[in-house]
Amino acid sequence: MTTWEIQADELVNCNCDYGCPCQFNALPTHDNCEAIASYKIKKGHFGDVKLDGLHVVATFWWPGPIHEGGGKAFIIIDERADEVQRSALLSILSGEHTEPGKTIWNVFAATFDKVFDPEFKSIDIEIDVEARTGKVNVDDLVKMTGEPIKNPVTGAEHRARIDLVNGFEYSVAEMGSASGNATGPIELDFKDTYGQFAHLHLSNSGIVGA
Amino acid sequence: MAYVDWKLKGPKITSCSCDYGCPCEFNGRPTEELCEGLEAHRIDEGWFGDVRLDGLIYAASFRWPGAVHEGGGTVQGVIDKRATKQQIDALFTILDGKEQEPTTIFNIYGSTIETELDPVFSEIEFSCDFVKGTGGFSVADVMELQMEPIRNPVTNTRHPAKIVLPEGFEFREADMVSGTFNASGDDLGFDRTARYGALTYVSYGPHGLIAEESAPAIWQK
Repeated sequence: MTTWEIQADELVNCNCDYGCPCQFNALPTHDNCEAIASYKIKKGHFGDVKLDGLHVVATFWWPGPIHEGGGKAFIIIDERADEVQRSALLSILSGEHTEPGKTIWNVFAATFDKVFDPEFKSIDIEIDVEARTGKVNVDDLVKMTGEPIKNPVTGAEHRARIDLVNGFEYSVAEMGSASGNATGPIELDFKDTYGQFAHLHLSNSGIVGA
Repeated sequence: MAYVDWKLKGPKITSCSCDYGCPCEFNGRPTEELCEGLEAHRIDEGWFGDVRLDGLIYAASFRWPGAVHEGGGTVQGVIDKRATKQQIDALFTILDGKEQEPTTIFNIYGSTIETELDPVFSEIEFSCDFVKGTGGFSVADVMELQMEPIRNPVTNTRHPAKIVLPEGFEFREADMVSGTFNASGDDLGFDRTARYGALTYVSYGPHGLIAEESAPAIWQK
């Protein structure tokens, strides 16, 4: 197993309501799960290969809740990544070189029927986890924005967090509101739905320090 | 403004008709479009002026036709039958939102209630175990709640999840569990299996939630 570790800021937008019931092992709000995930890697390596500063975006679709399988995945890798970096990132995102069930990508891999050929594109990602704001743009393929949830009565920003003790993605996630649109092999369109902001720190054996 | 000093501090358990995690905690819409459920709060330490409230329990069942903030709610309050006349008056004053700021839990929820059913005075059996992730309460012939850990649908292991609301007026941190409950009565009857459940520890006073005496601060001491 090649040793790897990644520290990244994440913005995820799915079709569920704010708070996404799936985080609590309930069923998705609208019966199935569709999502756009973006990762801005601050620091990372895969063996000797440095991954610092690279960006990754992925789109996902499942016919029902994730754990029932039948899903599709499409990964877009930063065009600035060289051949070795591309293959390292694809390996991590495919759940390889990972203890079983220890990262979200390893868990997800078991739920896909179809993984489309990856693309290599220019990816812009701005994420401020604490402020719960973010902006993602991938050429003609993906657009996504995230902002704080607003109180429906007062309009004030609503600060809420989900903490998971045995998480395989995050230990702490800031809740936000996100909107996203994706074309390509998986077409998605979300308006003011679940937005998840987190500082990820993952390795072969899952969340570092958990 | 000066208020009579009071405090209600202790474990609080809540369950409602929403999915695990309840989208309303994040300002989403309720899962079933309406909100109905029940809660109970055991006062481990409490007072209203000179009247001690230690050891008493209060509970309620509730229903709103839509999201809570859209109003039109119905509530059935339950007061521990061990409470004396003085303690009952004290609890009613607090639960009615008097002697406190307009931004407390009792005033915020109170502003959404249209129908208040006559209170029930009864024995309330209450339990809450944060380590085991279990709890519940029952009011004979009126309402009952049983809570157990949420389990992973694939591996069946416990799924310990928390909702953290750093500026919350009801709680700051709650353990997510699974609640199965029912309430009877012509005006407020319902039952649900395996829905949103929350275990927390809260201290309320005239100025709202007292963070340093509520979870998670109280667990870190």
